[in-house]
Amino acid sequence: MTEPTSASGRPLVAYPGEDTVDPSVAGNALAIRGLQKRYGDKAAVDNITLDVPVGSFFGLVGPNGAGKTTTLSMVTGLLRPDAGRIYIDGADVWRDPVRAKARMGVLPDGLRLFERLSGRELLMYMGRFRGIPVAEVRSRADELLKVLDLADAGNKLVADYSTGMRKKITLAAALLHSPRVLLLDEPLEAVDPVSARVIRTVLTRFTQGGGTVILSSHVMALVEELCDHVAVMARGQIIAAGPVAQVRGGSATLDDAFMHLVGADELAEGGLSWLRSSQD
Amino acid sequence: MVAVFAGLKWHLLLGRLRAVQKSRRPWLLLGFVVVLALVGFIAFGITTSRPYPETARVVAILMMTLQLISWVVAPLVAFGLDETVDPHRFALLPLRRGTLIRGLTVTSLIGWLPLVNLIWLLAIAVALSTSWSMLPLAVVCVLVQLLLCVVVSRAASTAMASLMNSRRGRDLGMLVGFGLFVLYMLASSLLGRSEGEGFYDGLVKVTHTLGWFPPGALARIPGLVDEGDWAQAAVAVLIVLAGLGLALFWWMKALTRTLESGSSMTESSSPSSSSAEFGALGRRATNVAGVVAARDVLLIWRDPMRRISWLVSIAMAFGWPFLVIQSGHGALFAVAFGGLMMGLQAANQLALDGSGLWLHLVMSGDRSKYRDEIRGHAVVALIPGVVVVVLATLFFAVIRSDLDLLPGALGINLGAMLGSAGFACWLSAALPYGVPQSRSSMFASAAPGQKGRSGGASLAVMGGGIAVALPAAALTLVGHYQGAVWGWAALVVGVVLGLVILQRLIEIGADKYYESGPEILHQVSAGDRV
Repeated sequence: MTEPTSASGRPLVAYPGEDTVDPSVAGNALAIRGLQKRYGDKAAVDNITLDVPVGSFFGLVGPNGAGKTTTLSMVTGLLRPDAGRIYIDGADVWRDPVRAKARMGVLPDGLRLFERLSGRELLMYMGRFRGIPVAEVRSRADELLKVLDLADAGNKLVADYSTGMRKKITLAAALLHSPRVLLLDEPLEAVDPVSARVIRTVLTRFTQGGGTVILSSHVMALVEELCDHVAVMARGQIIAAGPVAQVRGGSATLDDAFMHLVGADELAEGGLSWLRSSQD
Repeated sequence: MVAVFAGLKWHLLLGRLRAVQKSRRPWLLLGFVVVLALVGFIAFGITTSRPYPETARVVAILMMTLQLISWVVAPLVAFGLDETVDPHRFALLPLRRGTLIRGLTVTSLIGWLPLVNLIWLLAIAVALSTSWSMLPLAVVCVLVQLLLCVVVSRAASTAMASLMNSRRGRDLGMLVGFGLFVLYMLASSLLGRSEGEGFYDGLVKVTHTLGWFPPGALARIPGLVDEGDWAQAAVAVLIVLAGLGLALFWWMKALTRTLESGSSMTESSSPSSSSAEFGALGRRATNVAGVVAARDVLLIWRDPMRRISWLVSIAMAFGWPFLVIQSGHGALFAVAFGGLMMGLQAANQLALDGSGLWLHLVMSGDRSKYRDEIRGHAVVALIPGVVVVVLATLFFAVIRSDLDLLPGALGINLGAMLGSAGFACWLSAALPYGVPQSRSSMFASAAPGQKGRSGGASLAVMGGGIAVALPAAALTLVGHYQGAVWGWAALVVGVVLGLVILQRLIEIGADKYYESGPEILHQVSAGDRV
């Protein structure tokens, strides 16, 4: 096969190598094989392999710095891996980005939006950029704004949205093109309880309709309540993965199991004695 | 406590220096030395007015008045450049108001800008000392002037702090900055055209009025004392004390109000109407390029950072030729600079939304999408760019009776614009840099540590535009000696060559964007943090 070339004459990105699909990825909404990312000497993601079944509500948990955001960034095509392959619904994210990106909806953590567009304008723009007919985009945008309780704020600039509203409008943008897989990085962090309830309801309905939700979080109670599958990450590696009940094992809660898995059973005691008395 | 504030400001200054890469620090220091040498040269120029007391007084009154105005306006235009300007940052510290005022006064006096002010003020003191015995008094006067600047500036910035912490306030700051730019252009034009005597007489009249305000009164005191006019000197001192007292009172009141109230709410600052279809252009758009262009047009109207660069470019297209060629023929060729500025509007186009670029990356999978996006951004620079360049060239051709030069000038100016737009599109992907997203200063055009990339990219865009215009310029030159037909050839060559290079650079830029999207995202996300 002739290597495609760019207008500048250089070969186009051939990452990650062979143009073959690993047959073991079939039936998975997300399949990761040998994914690696290093920053200098530190392995942020250390050769992970993971399968997320179609239709599952999947939680990716781990302490801060475990590699969750790095993993999701590579899965969504926003960060180039050093090695490994990623398949979304059978499409290689880095080899076949057209199909992969059409099948995923993304809610990243900490990235800006088009701040000077209103919520409705943002949805209209994204829908039309994706090539969805205007009338269809308008109809979907109105419905999403209504369901996500943003109808009254639809004409307000995103720059003036609260954290909860920003998460909701990003979720609306992620759902707009009806993806098969939703990839959400800390979707409920710093979100007020009302917005959190709305987001959880929408996500649950999405999985009930056959979609797959993959979310990262470090709130164990949330993952235990929402997810049917979970993977635990620590120091860039997957240290446990499977149905929630299986990962929890003999522990009373997922939180206990998590503490045991990441080796944080024994919290440091002693010190801070000066906290017992306050200053005048 | 004052020492703690002084230490804080000192460490903030050192922190900024440390943020610069080690390899670039010597160049930065060299830049400081050059600036200081320039400041010293200007200071020397001020001192040369000492043998002419009347001139020295006029210069001192004008400079000290402008200095005070600059100190008041600076925080509005560049609120985020000095971290100690915003009093909200100190709201949670257990400090009394008097302590805070003393501390903030000291922080205002530390830094390279206060140093530059001090050097110029000492030069003014020398110029005002009609006899050397008046020098100590003149030095006291200029030091009080510096204190006055600090107090008035802090009072104004404290009173505006809530506003400047809001999006609308920072937008207002950008507009004020543009107003100052236009004023500067007008003043430069007037200074360049004025007949020496008449203009000076006008300035003298203005200083008669300004002399009754605190900065002017301070400038008059040494001369009045030297002349033995004690009554007028006493009145001048009273004006200064009253001004300083009022400014201090304003600062204290503003500080109390600011520290006792929360930050500004932006709840009501949203537009009341929406244009979800992105106006007429958006409704008619049938492809990705059209949708992208429609969004960009909307954001130019809505985002002052984008709008002001357009206004400056239009002002340069029509104003620059007046400045450089004030009479006679040839001004229409100077529109080329405006053309370069128009092409520059397409520069660093992938960074204007900061990390918001991810929204495009997750939607684009194939090269055609990336090309459409770049083409859409380019169209927004090109359509108004062509209109402005053609109108400005025609305008100068008519008013300077240069219609015979029009075809060649259009070829050069349009070639420069198309070429710079092409290089802007390519370098947006090849040499992107983070654009500060906080909008806290209209002067902050690149994220810290990326000023070199920003400067390099801008120079390359301008240089590329000039290179593309060179063939048209050569043909125009030939036409000057060989006949008008060569001017028409210049028009055709300038436009055709410009379009070909533009198209090619859009393709190469889009391929680079396709190949390096994640790396570009990483680079431009640096703008989110400032």
